[in-house]
Amino acid sequence: MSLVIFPCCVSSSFMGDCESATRVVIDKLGVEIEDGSGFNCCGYPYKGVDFKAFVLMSGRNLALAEKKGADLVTTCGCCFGTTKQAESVLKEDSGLFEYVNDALKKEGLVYTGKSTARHFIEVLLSNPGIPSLKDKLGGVFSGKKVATHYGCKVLRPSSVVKFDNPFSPTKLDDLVEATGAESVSWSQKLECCGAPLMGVNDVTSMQLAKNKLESAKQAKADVICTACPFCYLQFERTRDILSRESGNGFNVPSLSLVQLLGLALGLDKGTLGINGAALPPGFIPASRNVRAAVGVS
Amino acid sequence: MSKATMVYIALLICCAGTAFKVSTWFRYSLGSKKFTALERVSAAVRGILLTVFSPKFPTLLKAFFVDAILQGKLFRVSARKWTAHFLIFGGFTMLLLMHALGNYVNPLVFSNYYATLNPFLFLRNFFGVFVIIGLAIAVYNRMHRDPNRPPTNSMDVYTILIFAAIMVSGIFLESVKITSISVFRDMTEEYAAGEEEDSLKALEAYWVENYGVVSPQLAGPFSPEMLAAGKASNSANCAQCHAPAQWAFMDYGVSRLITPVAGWFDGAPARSALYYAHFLLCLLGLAYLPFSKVFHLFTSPLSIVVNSVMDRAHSDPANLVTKQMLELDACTHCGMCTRHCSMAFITSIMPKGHTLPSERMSPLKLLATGRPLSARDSLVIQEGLSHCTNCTQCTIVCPVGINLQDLWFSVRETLLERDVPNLQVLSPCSVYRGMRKDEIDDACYNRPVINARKAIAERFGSFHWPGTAYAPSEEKVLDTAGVHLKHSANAACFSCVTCTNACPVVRTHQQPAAALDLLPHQLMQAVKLRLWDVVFGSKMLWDCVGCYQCQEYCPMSVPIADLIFELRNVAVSSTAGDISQKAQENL
Repeated sequence: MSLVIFPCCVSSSFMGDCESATRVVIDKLGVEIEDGSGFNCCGYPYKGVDFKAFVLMSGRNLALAEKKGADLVTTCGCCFGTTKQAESVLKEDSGLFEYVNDALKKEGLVYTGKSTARHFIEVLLSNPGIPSLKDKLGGVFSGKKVATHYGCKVLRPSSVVKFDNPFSPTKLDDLVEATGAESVSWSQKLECCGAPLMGVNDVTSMQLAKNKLESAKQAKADVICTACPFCYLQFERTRDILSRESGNGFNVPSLSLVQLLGLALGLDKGTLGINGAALPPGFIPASRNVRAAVGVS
Repeated sequence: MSKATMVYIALLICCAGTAFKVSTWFRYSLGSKKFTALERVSAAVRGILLTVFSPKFPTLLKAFFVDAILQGKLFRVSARKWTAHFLIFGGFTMLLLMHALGNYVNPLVFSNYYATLNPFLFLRNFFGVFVIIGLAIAVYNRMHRDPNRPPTNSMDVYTILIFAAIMVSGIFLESVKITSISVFRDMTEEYAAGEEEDSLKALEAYWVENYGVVSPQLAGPFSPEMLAAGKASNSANCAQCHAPAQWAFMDYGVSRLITPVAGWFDGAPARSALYYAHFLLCLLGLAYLPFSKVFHLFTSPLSIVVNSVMDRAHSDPANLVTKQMLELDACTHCGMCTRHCSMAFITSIMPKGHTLPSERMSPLKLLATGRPLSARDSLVIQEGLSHCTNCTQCTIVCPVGINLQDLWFSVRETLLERDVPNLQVLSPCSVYRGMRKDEIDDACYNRPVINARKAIAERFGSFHWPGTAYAPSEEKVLDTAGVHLKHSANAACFSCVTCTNACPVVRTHQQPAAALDLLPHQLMQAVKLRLWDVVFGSKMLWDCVGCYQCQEYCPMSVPIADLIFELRNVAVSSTAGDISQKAQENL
């Protein structure tokens, strides 16, 4: 199966730079992922208000991928989990399967179940794989402590997403440690960031994020690394608001996985859409060493 | 009335219309009443001056040349549209300069200008072909059956028609003039007055033979001697100021087609009727320009330039309001936004009466005038806007650089201030609002969510405990439910409270039972007992983050989170019907 990148609405809206940098990171890592076009939203916002619409939206994306003979690759945990769930619904619910394929006929599309959604983490683990990544990145972040955050939909429901052990996942940690950083253990690692409630119940939403930021700080993490842009936005927004309201107590900044890898590859923080001011001093590796390590002249 | 007077009247209407339109950019707004028109004018002047003397100026110039003049953004989005558009735009501009304004412009460039000489004779047709091919592609694009294309509206039709009518009338007029014997004789009287009658006859024969004049007296074949005499006369009298008619290849081609009926059109009245048709159509286009889609000639470049240097983080809020009004006028209804809309396909399959991006613009123009929208219109726009997933594609692809996503945000907030409950605010679509909370009035921020929750609670409030829990009408609640709920997948639940212990939302509260109405395990029990008023009125139902911890930990594999999503679907689908029915009644 070839791979095609699936763009995330939230990233396009609020992290345009990071989204365009994803392409650069993919190319620098030498992974072959094509650009896709014509996709719609994964349907995540619709799951609770119009289930059919959600399945149809994900189903159409999967059908577009199937037409290209490709799997969808996403850097977003929510897009990943949502599409995975639609796949499983389409497998189990023959009524919805028929409904979706009937609707897709209009565009000459069909989804038979051949294509699937894959998180960027999975893709990187198989190609280039950890040993080669370690070689490539040359331990640029050695001595740095990273709190890894998978995001709910990457892990759960585990029977549907089948990504990793839902109680003790390691895939993102392996990837982060390939940069030389240490993945710290933190009590709130598997909890929700609260982002889905943003705009619906901001108090609860922010409390959830606050708990996580406190936990990451207790674990002495330099940064939080998220496998989902939605969580990244939630952490950064909460950190911004809380540090404005209550001084500097919430100073653990976040990076999305793409941003962390991008920094490790020596990309400019502006290109990656990173607000460098929040990162601990000396976190960004001196670019010359990195370039030598990556083999860029 | 002289022609000059007519031109001045059309020009006056055009200028007055433009002035009126420009004034609306400062007077109208989408609900924002923070600034007076005068404040907005002065903010705009200040903004323009600051930009001109700032490092942003090169950015602005680049946007103007690359994206406005060369339409680079359109090219990147669709090469076919760019071709059509550039053919019309380029061709028409050249015709305007070297034909309509030819008497003023051409002498500036060429020392010896005659409309009947090359390159002018040829170029008029050359650029005319540009416009006609461009129009043909535009018509084809609009006729071509494409499910993703938004419908063509009357303004699109008018725009194509007015350009086509100007072109057709012009070509027809010229082809009639080519065949016309009276035009020929007028010319010979003026330029070959000294010639003998025989020589004039030879000249006429030469023109009939070679340049398409249709003569009632003379018909070929002509003798070579006569043609030679005619050629000599032509060289002496005509050739300096008149290139062969074939150079006007399109006019000449059409003139061949009308040869059999050329006599009907020969004569001053027919010619002047054609002339005035062409002339007045041009003036009509000019006078109506500010009120038509063609106004984008000015507004689109403005929108491109303005958006290249403005952003909501740094620009004066007064200017942002003004910019949005300008953007409403800059829309060309090209449909690019709709074609790339994340909701386009879904909308075509599940029509909810909501509108796609390109179709929202004209109701929004109405909304901006401050006139009250009909309940139906506002419902339709609100539906469309609240279903938007904020994927930014519309803004990325808009060839004239309109920040559509910002526009939707402004309008959505304006409409949410009205008290028609909008259930979509309970979905993660609200994240976009949340991210831009700073721009929303505190008093207005929470109200939509409260209203939506209230509407749902009221909808199910009548299912009162201790009513008959299994009454058929109440069982109907499950009609719209998903498989888990229908099959009572929670039957296995024995209230071990593992779900509640695993729930991160529960843990954020000091007194969770009071704050959430029902804890997750209680929610499961309430579903089992069909206590719909309790279930749908509970805060837990909407405060769930959907993290699936409960489901992951449940020892009985009850799909708790999935059940919550199904309950939400039931709540929304049953309540949405009520809301739209109520709104329809208010119409």
